[in-house]
Amino acid sequence: MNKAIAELEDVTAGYNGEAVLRNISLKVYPKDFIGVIGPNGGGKTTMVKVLLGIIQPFKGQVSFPSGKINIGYLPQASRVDRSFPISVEEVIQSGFKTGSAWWPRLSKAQKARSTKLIDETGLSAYRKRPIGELSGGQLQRVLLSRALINQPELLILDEPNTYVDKNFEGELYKWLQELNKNMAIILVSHDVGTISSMVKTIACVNQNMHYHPSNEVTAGMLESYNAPLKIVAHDKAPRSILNKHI
Amino acid sequence: MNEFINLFNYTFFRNAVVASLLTSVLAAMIGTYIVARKNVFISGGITHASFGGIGIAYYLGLNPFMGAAIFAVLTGTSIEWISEKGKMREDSAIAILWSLGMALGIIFVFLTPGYAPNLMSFLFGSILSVGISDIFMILTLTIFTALFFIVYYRPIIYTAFDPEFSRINALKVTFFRYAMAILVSLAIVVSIRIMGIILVLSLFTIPQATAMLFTHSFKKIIALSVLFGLIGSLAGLLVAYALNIPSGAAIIFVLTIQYLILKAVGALKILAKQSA
Repeated sequence: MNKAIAELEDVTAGYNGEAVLRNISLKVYPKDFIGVIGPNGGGKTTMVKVLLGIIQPFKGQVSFPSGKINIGYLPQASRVDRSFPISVEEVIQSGFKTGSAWWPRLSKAQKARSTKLIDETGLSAYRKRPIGELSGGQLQRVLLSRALINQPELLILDEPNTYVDKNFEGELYKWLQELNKNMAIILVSHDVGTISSMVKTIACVNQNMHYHPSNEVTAGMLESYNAPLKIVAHDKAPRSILNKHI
Repeated sequence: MNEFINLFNYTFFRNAVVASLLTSVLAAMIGTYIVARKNVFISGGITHASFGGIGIAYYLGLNPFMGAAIFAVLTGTSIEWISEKGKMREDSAIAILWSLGMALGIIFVFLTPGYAPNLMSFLFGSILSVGISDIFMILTLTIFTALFFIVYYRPIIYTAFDPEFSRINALKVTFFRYAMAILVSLAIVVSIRIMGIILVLSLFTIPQATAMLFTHSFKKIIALSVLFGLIGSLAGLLVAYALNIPSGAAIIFVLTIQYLILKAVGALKILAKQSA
């Protein structure tokens, strides 16, 4: 079996001394597509922050067994200040690691790469536009481009459906399937239905974690939730298969 | 017209013009950062807290602007620290530092024996008493800030726009946010000389609001703010002279009129387009 590219080992983490996540372990392998589901406040975003190194766990450790990797990150829509005077191109280029350079300039290759990505994602007409003029789906494409510009080995998406753009949602999922050929993806969502149709494996996070090595959501899995949930099956027409399960 | 040209024969007027032009350039850069980060209230806190430094410096017989600079920088960096750690409500912290600074200033000015210093000049500015050393100080800070913005334009806007992502991307977020907090504080203090504590924020916000009628690009907002700030300051000084009114207030008045006229022109253009 392949070596894991990222690993959480018995991690307990939270804020101001209060644990939101307890004893979580997770291994991410190349080309994994992991759906992370769980109720709001269950610790999904905290888990992502631990993986990204934004917060340090109280206990346990985060490691990258096959060496340092690039992680691309798409934050929730509400984390983005859309009124900030910054252009589409500037946001995408902010994904480059200019790091601690004393004179942070972009190389020709970097500029060419950002132009190519902007063209590929159909944003050429918006290159110099401020992000405040974009629709939800366009903004998401910009931020996803920012996440992809370093050609990450692991892409983490936090609640991508918060950008509310139904037209783009289908396109996004097709795009993710394509990207998954070259990188591992972790998709965080409280919407079980969307997730189960695309991911390969599912992790349920509600303070602690239950990992399921398939993409089937079963009633048994939801026992870890302790909260009302709804599963929608996508085989033919969408139908409810479970309601208000406690 | 000749009368206005003759004005430039007076050293005090030439100094006033040079100082207000330099301040407009400085405020254009720093103000755009403040407005982009929605930090206008924080800047109000820094401005008013600096009065504490002025009072203490007076009491100890030191240079009041040195006192103001120390208080402003301490306030600016403390607020950045509080907002980063998130242990206290940021707006409450600002309100406390704001009023504490003013209170300390009043107490120490009151305790200073002998003739009470001219409080009005700190509160409303005294552009006509600006000397060469003041101009040199503003010039130094303006050049330094311009160089800092040119070299570090990208990390400055990246860390302001999305500190979390910047941190993931190994940018020195803490360094840039504190460096900017210090620059904001110093820019406010040197501008107090001209506009006074109560009026100074106008220079950091009205030109930007006017610029944002035309563009939402960070660089262009700076460029247009320089232009609108220069026009406002120069016209404000002339109005102050012509009507014999305080210069700081006249500058704000002109800046606001300029904003309103351009906003009205914009609205009329839209109306004309719709009816065409």
